[in-house]
Amino acid sequence: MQARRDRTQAAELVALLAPLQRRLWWRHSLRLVLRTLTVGLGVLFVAGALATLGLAPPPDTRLLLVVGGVILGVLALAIARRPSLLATARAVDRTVGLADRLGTAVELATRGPAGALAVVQIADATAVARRLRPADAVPLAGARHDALLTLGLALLTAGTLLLAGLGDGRPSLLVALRHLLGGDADHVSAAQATVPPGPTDRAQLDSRLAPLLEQLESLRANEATLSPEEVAARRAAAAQQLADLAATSRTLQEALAELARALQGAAAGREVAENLLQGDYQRAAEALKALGRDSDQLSQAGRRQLAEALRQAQAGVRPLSPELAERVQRAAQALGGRDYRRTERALDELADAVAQAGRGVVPQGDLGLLGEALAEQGADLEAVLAALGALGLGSNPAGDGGPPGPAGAGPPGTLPGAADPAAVARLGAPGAPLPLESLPSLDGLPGLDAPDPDRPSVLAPVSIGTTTSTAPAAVGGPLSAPGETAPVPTERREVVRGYFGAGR
Amino acid sequence: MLTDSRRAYPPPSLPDAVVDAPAQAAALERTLRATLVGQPAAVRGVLVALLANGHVLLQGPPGLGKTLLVRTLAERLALRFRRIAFTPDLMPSDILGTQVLLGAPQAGKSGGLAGGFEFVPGPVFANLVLADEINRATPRTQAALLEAMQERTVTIGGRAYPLPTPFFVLATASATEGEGLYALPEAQLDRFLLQLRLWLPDADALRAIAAGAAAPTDSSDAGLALHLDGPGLVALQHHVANVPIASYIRDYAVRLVLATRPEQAGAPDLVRRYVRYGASPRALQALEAAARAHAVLEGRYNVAFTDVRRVAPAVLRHRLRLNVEADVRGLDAEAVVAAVLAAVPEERCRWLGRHAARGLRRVLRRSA
Repeated sequence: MQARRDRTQAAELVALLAPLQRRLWWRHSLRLVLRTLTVGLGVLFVAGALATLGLAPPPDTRLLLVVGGVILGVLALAIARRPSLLATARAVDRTVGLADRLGTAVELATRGPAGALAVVQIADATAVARRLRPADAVPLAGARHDALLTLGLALLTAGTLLLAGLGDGRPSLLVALRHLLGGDADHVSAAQATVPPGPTDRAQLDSRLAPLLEQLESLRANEATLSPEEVAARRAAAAQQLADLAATSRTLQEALAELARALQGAAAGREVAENLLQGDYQRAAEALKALGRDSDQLSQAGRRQLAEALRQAQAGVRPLSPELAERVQRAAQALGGRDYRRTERALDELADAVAQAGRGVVPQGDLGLLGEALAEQGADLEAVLAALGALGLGSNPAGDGGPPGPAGAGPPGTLPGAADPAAVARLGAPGAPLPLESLPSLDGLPGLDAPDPDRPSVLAPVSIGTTTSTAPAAVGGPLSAPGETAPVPTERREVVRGYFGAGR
Repeated sequence: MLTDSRRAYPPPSLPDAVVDAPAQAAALERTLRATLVGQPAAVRGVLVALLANGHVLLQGPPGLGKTLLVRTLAERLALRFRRIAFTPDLMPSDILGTQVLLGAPQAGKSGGLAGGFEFVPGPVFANLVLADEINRATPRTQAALLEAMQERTVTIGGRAYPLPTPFFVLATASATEGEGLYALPEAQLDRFLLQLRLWLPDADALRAIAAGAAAPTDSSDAGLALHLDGPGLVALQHHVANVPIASYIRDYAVRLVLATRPEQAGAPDLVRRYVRYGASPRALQALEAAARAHAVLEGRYNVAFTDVRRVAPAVLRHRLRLNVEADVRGLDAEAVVAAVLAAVPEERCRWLGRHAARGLRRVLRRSA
């Protein structure tokens, strides 16, 4: 009778603890999954933050799959790990402060109560368990905190991932932060960070391309009223203008690069050289003027070194731009003497020549895309190809998916050096000297705004490096400045194409 | 809570002494606290030792009411009380008793006595014995008492005389060292279940003592105490020894005892550096027994982690032998036990956690 009574007490204790056991199981599983989720979200948040700052590529699907897999694995583990009755009793003891009553009673009930005190102990524990409220015995407050933390982190992560995917639309604060973080951010998406957001308009195109654009637009508008021959002739003329501009621009760029490379060898000329290589010709001119003003501060050795560098540059620049070479030579001679006023004047003139030549350099990307647009309109393909080839953007004449050129050589389907040598010669490709008078004047062309070298090109600059046969070997390195090697984003091509393709 | 559960499931086979044991013990504790003002820990320790059928070594300055405590205890439990003042010239027979010759000399050649010898029991034949300043007696006398404490019998002239039950010795030891003092050896210290420390009372306690608030007035307590006479106390001791202890709490006690051994892998740094000998297996038995009694005094029929932790300092402090370096640094066993309690977690470390903790300790030791 007594033994049956003891068994009943033990069974009642087990029955009282069973819902607590389920609740504890649920809480353990929930917290384990939430914590794993928090860790996974933390990983995604870090990846998203790095991507937003431009320090890493955005997280891809594989990372999401890994995080999801880990969470599923943990969920399976949590389901498999059901807490035992003893573990439940001990957890409740700890939570409610029952001084190990339930744990001891469960142990005694499991192995069968031995002795009168064991019976009393089980009875005591059963009475205590009967009064327990599940919410007090196994509180879910911790799980709620975990859930809130996970939710907050999920929102943060979602925001970060969205920011990472926004591209140009990211807040300016992040851009500033990315700049603060330095070069790592720049090399990943320098072009995106420096290009102003939003759609472009005609005013943002290079001013020398404006007349050409106007011609093409009026041609498209009046195409129906003109004869096909006249349309073809005007397009050919536009292509010719483009080719001329491209050749002039390239020649001047090469001349300035030649000067830059020579000046790199002189300590006093390094600032000028760096500005020239970065395409900031206005600043290079200012640096040259400052160098002239401070020429009396130069040591004799420094003057000799600078003069020697300019003499070397003069030899390389002369075939490309005799006028610039003349100014370089005068500056070299002045530096060789002791007349500081003459030196200042000569460097001042050289600075003006550099600024003028810089204004003749048209953003290569704009030229290249205009060439593509012309080709799409069916302009004189040969002339356009020649122009593009002179830029290092030569399209494969076959146009049927030939092998792509080397990196930076142009858009897909192009071949390096694919331009027709005859066409290159006809268009005044590198090698043919250009008189300085043929370039835009120092005051700018009438009716045209002087190009602002600080204004970024609407069309992202493209590589102009290695496609012509004359450039690399002659000048000893790829003629490209930092920031000019990024591919042209597709959406910007669409902007230019929009000028020509709307009515088609 | 406990009364309710007993009403819900009244175990018919339990005597009243067991069913009412927590209430009886609580009433007794209240009475003793009123007697020994300002020393609640000592009162609790004395009761723990009494219920666990052990003996207590008290250390502290004189004049704190030790005699009054034991006398009150004896009065409330209707037990026989004796006090022995230990002095250097005290002989074992002065404690244990002696055989005396009875009757007139017998006529004849042998010159023998007609009545023979009769054993006159010493003061140790009492239920509650206060051994005052035990470390003033010679080792021989100390050993005689300690043997009686352990064996609970006295052997004189080849005959064993059992001591009365219950038998409880409360010994005091002078804390100051000097001439005429004989320190108790480790083996004899081990016979005491607990070593308790008495401290000078604070201002409130002094005010209470001065106001005469020490007298017990609760008539209900007096009524409850009547149940706890000698046989009742023995029955209660028997049932306290059977208070269930869960395996994981026993495991905790084992880990505590192991952690006092300097050669043990998981021992704290303080133990490794300053302990010569750790606690013996008897310490584990004492720890369990004391924890059981403490649980009953707390109104429970099961041992909890808190019981083990609360009694551990009193159980372990006199069982640790510190090395010379600890003496030089002024470190006492109290600090070592505290370090052990802090280092041993109630929950057993899981495999990974245990190995990680061990590795971390190794690294810290190397860096130190």
